[in-house]
Amino acid sequence: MTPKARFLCALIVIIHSASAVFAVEINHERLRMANTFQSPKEVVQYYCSRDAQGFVWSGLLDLERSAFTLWKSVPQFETFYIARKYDVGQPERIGHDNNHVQIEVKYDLIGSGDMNGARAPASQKNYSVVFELMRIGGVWKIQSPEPGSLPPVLLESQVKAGQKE
Amino acid sequence: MRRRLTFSHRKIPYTSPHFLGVIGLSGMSILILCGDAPGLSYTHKVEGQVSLAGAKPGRDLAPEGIKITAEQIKEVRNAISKGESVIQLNVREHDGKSFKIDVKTEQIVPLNSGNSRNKLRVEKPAVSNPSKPLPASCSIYQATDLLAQGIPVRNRTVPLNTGAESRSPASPPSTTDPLSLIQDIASNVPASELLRGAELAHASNEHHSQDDQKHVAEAYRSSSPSELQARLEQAHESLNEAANAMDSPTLTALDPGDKARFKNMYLNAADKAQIAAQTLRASRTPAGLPALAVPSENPLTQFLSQGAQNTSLPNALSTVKNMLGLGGSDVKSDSIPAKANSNDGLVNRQILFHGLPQDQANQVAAKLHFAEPLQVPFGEGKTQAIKLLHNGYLFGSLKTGMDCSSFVSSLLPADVRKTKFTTLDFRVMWLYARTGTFPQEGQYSRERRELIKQTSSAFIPINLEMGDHLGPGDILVYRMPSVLDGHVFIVKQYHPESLTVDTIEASQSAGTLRERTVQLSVDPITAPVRFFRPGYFALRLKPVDNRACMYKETKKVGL
Repeated sequence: MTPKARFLCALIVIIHSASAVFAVEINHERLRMANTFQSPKEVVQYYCSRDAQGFVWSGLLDLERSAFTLWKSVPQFETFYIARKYDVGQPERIGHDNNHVQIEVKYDLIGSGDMNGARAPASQKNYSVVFELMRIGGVWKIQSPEPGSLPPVLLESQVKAGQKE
Repeated sequence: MRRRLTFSHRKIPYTSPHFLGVIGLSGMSILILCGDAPGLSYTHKVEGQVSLAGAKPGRDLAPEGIKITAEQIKEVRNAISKGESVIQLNVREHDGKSFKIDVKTEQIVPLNSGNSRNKLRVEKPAVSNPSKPLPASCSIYQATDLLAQGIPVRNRTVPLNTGAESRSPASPPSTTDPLSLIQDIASNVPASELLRGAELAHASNEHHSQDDQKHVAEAYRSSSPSELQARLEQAHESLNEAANAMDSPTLTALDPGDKARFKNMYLNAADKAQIAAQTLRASRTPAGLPALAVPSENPLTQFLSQGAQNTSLPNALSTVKNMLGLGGSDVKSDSIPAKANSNDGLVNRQILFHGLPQDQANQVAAKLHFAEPLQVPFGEGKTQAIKLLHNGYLFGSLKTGMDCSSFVSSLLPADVRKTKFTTLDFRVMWLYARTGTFPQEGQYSRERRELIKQTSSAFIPINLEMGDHLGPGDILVYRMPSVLDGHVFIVKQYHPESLTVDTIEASQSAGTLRERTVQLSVDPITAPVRFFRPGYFALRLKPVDNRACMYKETKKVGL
């Protein structure tokens, strides 16, 4: 194949791929099927971002659970917290183990509710979750809190008020 | 001073659930439960102590000033097992006739009450009575809460949990009395059938999802790699359009919660289809060309960086088939395929379905159990008919799904199942059954109000906060007056020591029927007092009153 033909083929492949990537799509934190994050903070940021957009409430996929957590089950809640914003802190080593860290995520809560429009004011404005992560096989995974004690937290911008029609 | 502790019961017709007598002890209470027939209530009276006759169900009957230590419990059990002493149950009927039943050693368990009591000892009875086995339905129940008294699962004993003495598993109570067995079976039929129906519905739901998965996967059985890649790319675009459609305010057929749930499901499916298509495309990149340059922040790099672009086509094809649950002899993987009725399974099914050509999709859709026809608007007043694939749950049920209320309503006996009852209906039934007053809630037509009143007579209202216990087949309802929606479960098993209940439910977030353990208290299990979460109550289908068995049993004991 001549260099020109080779260049044209590569260009076609790139354009095709780009068009596939930039087709009509909703802006969202994309699903990841493998955990290639290098730092524990990236893992927590990914989880919180997916959580904030409702992907944990609507059902965390099992492939995500196994890739990013050490949980045996997924969070199962019909209701959720609603936050104005959240902030992922820096990892702090637990004890002297370089493979065990904790990261605190602080939320600015405004209430709780469900997707049918029920809303209740927040009993506490400042809400935080401390994630503990372990590095296993070079991959950081969330160890705690347990899924049963981790209700979903959605961002206000993702939740439409008065959705019930 | 030695005292004889006796229990007695009076029969009252269908006014209260089964009732327990409790001996208060030092830090512990002994709980003996006999629920051999509906409408019976038990009191206990200690000679020389305050009589607790007339005490209401669910209340702690530990008499004041009574205290027994762990060592004394052991002493009592040893004494009973050796025949040196006896704890007797006095059974007294309305006509005044009575008989005594000896309580067996394995039917005595400590109840952690936290209260201190005076000492109590069991003395050898002055009159020797023929020992009669307790009715088969008398069971022992252990509770860690003073108020946690009620009806346990029939014929079940709970082992000691004091930690202060060695214990062996309690032997199951005798079930050799055929009359008691018949009585139990007759009285348990409605609740047992309801639970059995829920379990069958759960199994059937899983089976339908598996069938749907097979029908969709069949269309890909002979797909070539290039064809599969093309279908995955088509699925990616189609799924993104479907996700956009879920945001449309004119799509009113779906509940807002379901719209949000399916939107996220479509987005997940679109992302996964894209990853799968990219995997195949990268493996088919002509030799000699540079690897596809993709920015590192692109989620696709998480796959490409693993060397997917250098993967051979057969390996890539195997990987993609495994991702989508297509299986096949060429699939090499140690991972367990996703269950068909799981969220992962539904995502795979959506990808495969949306990758089919229209005519093939219509043929496959006709075979699917869980495919809801929807008219989705796509601008300029036009609508498009699509098939919404699901795992059995649709709020409002629609044509092919069910929600929690319709799930439970469908399990009710034919004479009770007049319509689909909502959680508000169940709450009103519970209040009406307890108080006799119809609460002025919501907008009830006269006909609906009469239906609710009539249906409520088929249930026994269970009050958890008053100490009633849940049983298998009970309908557990969560409904707060101030909240628009609630939830309803079918009870499989209740764990009073942890205040948790194993249930079967139709869950919106799971999108299917599932089993789940519900926590009835947010207080830690080590807390001295644990409160029930507000909003939970239960309804139990009334047992069948087999008066023939009752009469025969009465005749048998010579009364």
